[in-house]
Amino acid sequence: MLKKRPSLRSDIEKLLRKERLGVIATQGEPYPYATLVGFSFTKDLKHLFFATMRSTRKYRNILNNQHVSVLIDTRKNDIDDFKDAVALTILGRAAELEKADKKKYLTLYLKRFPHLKCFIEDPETALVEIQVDRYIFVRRFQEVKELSLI
Amino acid sequence: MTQYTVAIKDIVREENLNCGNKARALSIMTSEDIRLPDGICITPDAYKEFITQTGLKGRILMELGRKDLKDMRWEELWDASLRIRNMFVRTPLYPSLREDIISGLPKPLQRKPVVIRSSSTAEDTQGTSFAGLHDSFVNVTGIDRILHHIKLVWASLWSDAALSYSKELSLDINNSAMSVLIQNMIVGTKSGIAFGEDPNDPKKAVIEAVYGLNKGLVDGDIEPDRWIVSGRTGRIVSQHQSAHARYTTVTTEGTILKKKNLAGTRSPLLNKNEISEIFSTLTTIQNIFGSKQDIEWTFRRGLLYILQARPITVRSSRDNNKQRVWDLSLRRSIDNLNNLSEKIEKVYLPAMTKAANKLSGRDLNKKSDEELAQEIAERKKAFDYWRAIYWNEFIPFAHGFRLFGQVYNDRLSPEDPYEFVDILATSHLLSLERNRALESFAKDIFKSSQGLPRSDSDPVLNDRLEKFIEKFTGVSCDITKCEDEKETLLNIARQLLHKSPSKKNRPGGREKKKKLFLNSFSKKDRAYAENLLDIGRKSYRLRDDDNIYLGRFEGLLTEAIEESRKRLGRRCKDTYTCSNPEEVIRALHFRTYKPKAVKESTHKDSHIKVQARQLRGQPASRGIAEGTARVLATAEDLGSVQNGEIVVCDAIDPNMTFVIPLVSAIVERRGGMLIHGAIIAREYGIPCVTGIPDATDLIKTGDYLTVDGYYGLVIVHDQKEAQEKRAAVHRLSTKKEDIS
Repeated sequence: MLKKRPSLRSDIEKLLRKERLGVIATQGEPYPYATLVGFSFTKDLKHLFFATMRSTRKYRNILNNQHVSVLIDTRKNDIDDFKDAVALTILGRAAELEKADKKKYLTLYLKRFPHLKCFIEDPETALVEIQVDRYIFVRRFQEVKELSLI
Repeated sequence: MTQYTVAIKDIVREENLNCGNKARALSIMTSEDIRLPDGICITPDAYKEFITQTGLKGRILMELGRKDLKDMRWEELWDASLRIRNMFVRTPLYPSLREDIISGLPKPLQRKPVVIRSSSTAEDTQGTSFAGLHDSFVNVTGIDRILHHIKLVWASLWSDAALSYSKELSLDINNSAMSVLIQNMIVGTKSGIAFGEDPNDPKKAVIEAVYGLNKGLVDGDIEPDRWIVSGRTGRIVSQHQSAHARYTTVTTEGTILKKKNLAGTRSPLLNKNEISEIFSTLTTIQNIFGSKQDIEWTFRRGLLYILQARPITVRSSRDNNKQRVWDLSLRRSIDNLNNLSEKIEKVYLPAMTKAANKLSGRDLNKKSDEELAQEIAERKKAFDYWRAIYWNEFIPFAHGFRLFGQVYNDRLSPEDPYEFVDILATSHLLSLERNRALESFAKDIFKSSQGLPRSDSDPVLNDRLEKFIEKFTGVSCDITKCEDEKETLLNIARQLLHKSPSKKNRPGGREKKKKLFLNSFSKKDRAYAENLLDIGRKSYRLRDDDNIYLGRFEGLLTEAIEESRKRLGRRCKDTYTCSNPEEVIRALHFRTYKPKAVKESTHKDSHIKVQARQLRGQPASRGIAEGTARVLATAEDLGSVQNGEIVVCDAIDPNMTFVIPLVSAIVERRGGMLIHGAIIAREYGIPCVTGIPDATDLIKTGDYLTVDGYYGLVIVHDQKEAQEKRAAVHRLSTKKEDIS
């Protein structure tokens, strides 16, 4: 009898714990805009957070269109990646946290990125929340499974 | 010595060179003046450079990335190994590596027959037994053949057996490597092995000997003469003489088993002096290495040569993984397969038919409860007996077509590593015969009844159906359900009348491929090639037919249990309650006894929001198909299959092949390129992907799928895509109707 694999949810959580950086794609005009961000997440996997200056292109894009996509993966840039790397695409809606909420989730964010304290405390820095609609998990190069939260 | 070669005698001096323990042991013995065949070692760096420079490294990695090795069945490991082997065979040695190896190969070895042996850098370490995982070849002559066989030895780093032991070997694309030994071929007149320690008595040693080469002895095909000697003095304690009926000798390429002319072979194979010399050399080798040894030796022109030595703990250690031991026991030699073939054809199959005929046709209605209980017991005993034969004899025989496939690929290097199946598939499969019979039955009925009514409302149809079922007893119901068999068959027959024209697989050039294969052997070896093809065909056919032969006994048992169910009435609350024959027998004996239920498997993913988008398996039959999924969880689901649907199931067994002419693709949990579902899919020319572990959990009946049988991918479309695709199919079919 084959052993049952860990559930998709635990695979996703494990990846979110392991990786701290991901590529966020926002909707620009005319091009989609991809950039690297440091993220934290809530245990229920419903929310992701990242910090950005309000003057950035991604922040402006989010103001115009809240729909974003985030890619998080384990690639090491060697040949084993094609066998071992896993990738997670997150689809969700992004918005800057209000002051009260920002305080609430700031601790969570700084726990992961204590060295970003100065950056996050800058008045120009926004803490952005992504409400996750869907996780798309890819392993073994072509195996794709989806976890829907809506 | 060149960049990638080193003389065996020099290995011991190269401290930083890891050519594997086998090569190192030979080098140490040479330096201690033990007589060994001369030779060189191709270093593991040559292997590493070859797979890196040619891109093979990435391709092997992708092949191994399909699925966790630990989750693969033996058939899947064999398939992965076959594909990797074919990659090596088809990838040429690039010029600088080729030149380096040739210039490192002494001239005599370039002209004379040689032995080419594996020496894995991970083999025989940590006191664990890894003997026999990798390939060695004897009697290879000429540069091109030598270079070809070097690649085969490299490929055997990823043999099915090595993949089975991947964890113990720490098999890894970046760190594992293979050295190759090329030695002068010593064609001895008698050969054998010697163990420094008798497994039954550590104070004694064992010497075994056969005529000719020792391959037949090592493969277990020839019974040797055996001497038990004192481990301290070499004094003979006991001896056993075998029949000396066969021996292994060289042929144009490789070796062959031959019958021995028994005249003059009645005396023991070794005399006292020879036994003493073998024991003395064994003792010397044990002193060199400081441990008990297991050696292989041969006598040529009165001189004793040592071919190999390894610590005895290595070979004698036991593998506790029974499944793996059984899986690996399936690899048989051609001689072993010939013996099995004869036994199966001449003894087992006629006996099975006779036994099944004896049991069928008995009127169960007329039997008392006691007699019916006795009937169930008799049928169960027969089923259990033949199931044991099936596992112990029929399944190992299936290795025949695998052996054929490997030899075919090694010689012809086809682009498609499963091209060999085209040659085997000329055989007449029973399940296809049944399907043709059902199609013809359906057409016949349609003509006479104009529309296939229900069987219970048409006595003539009912009678014909019963006759059909009797002819193919146990083909469309299994141990859990049989009462709906007629309606199931009728539904399938109804669908068959409306199915699209069959696009059966008719691979071209079958005869041409067969000729190419046979002509790749010299005239002297043609008989061996034909024997191999014959065994391949027989075993391919049996792989399909054996299920049907066994299915008759299962059907007969089910029939008797069905009769009991009717009689037990309320005591049988459902089919699972009354599927255990022992429980049913007890209930027939005791009027108040209620049979205990057999627990059903409840393997379900608790995360209901998980949706598969792409699932990766093995590409078991080529082609691309789109359609609606029909998940077959139980036998009752068979009757629901609609024309053009994609069947998703645990495994296609012969009871299910009736529906295959209707479906557009097959997706199976069970993995393998040569399993029943894959064979049938290829026969019908429909795509098939196997080895998707959670296929029946993640795919739901009604999902819209694309099955890619070239790459081994199943795509589950989301609702929007599915609607668009269904609409496109509908538009196309409406257009076709308008045109016609």
